[in-house]
Amino acid sequence: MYDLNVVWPSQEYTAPTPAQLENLYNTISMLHSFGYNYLAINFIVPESVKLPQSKAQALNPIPMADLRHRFRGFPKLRLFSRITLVLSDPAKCQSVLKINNTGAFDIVAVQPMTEKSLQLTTANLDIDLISLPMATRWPFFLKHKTVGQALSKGIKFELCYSGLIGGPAGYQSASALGVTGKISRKQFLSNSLQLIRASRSQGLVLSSGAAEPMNVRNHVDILAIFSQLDLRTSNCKEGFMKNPEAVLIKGRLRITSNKQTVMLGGHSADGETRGSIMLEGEASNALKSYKRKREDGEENAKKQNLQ
Amino acid sequence: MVRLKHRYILFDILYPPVKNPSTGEQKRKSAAFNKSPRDCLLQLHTQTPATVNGRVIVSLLKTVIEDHFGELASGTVALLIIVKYFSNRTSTGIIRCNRTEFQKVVAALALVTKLEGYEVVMRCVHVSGTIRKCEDFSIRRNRELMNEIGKGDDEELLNELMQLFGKHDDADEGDDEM
Repeated sequence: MYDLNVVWPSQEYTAPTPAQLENLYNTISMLHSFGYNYLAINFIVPESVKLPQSKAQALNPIPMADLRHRFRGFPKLRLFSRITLVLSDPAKCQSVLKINNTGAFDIVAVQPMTEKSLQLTTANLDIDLISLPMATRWPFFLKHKTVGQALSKGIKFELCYSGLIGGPAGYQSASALGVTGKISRKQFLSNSLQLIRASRSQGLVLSSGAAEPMNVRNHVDILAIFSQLDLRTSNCKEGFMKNPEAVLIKGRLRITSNKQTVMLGGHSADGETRGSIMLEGEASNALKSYKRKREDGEENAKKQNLQ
Repeated sequence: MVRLKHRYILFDILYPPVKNPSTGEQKRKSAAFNKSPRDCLLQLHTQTPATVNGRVIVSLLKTVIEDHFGELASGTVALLIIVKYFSNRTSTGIIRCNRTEFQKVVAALALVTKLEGYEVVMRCVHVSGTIRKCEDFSIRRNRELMNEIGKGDDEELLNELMQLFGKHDDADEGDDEM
């Protein structure tokens, strides 16, 4: 199973403290023990932070090699990196294009805060995932047409359940949630209803958004929550398996291919070109890993069925 | 006359490390948690303190359901919840509830964050129509878990755990040899 949102503790280019890192490690191992094997570490960038665009190396603050080395003892665990750009001013979307060219991140996601930036993201930008802010009130009405436009381009929508599970709740007493906690939960529920309605339960990626081990939940329980919100039960498992997989592959192909179909450069194995379409090297590797992941996913599905 | 049907939910309580460890014990736990999958499993499946029992869990779930689904659900779903079995040693239990609305109970399990002052994650492991199937599943799952933990080489710890789970299985069913 996939979880494309494990929050990187720092929102800027400052290194996180050892305690925060340890917390991240704990979250990763907790997710692994819950059966989520493909995890994406999510680096959220507010609009005010300036990206070091001149250097591709410095763009990604997440030490992926270190992380992968650290978790080598965990069977089947795969780690990916993801960037989420908070976008409210459409004029600032240039940075997205530049990030795409460097390939510093496996997944590029956008969090549109206004209607204009949402329009722009669904229509023009070449990204993998749209992550709408779930805890605040949206200044726009989400239309099926907008969502459909994004889905037809292969961009999925993220439904991150940390807004419901994280936060100040803790059932010591009936009023532990407090007023603000209740409002943000209500907002979360209303927003997820909108998203489920506008997307017709299709093309959703369910992710944890876990900032600490406490926020990790079993996927069955999450589906039980969302089935209360009319998420169609026949499609909802895809939010943990098929859709995030598609996002990862789209991200991979965005880096290594042109318009997802044509791969430029290099020669085929026997030195002969097959028209303009060549699938080799990275792309065929991506395909292979795609197949492998499919098989893994099916295995998981079988296991889950057995359970 | 048709038999009155229920749903049985097998759940377990997990103890993840806290975000900001303050005491030495918590710090030690937090540091050891991410060493290997085995350490992780061992820490998650620790014993539940003696203050937690079936009644505490029922009242907690009732609060959660009333908070999130309102009084309609707390009348139709929460009042019918019964904890049929709970073992502090293995932190596993079985809940009996309404058949049509069991999803709400599962959702309520996921929404729990704190139990008697301990930060916990409650997880629904299995849902079935008879309590017998839940017990069977629990035994099978524990055996798998033992295999997974047994991959390490710490014999003594393994034996200790075997005893732990063995007790649970005996309580469920007498014919288990574990």
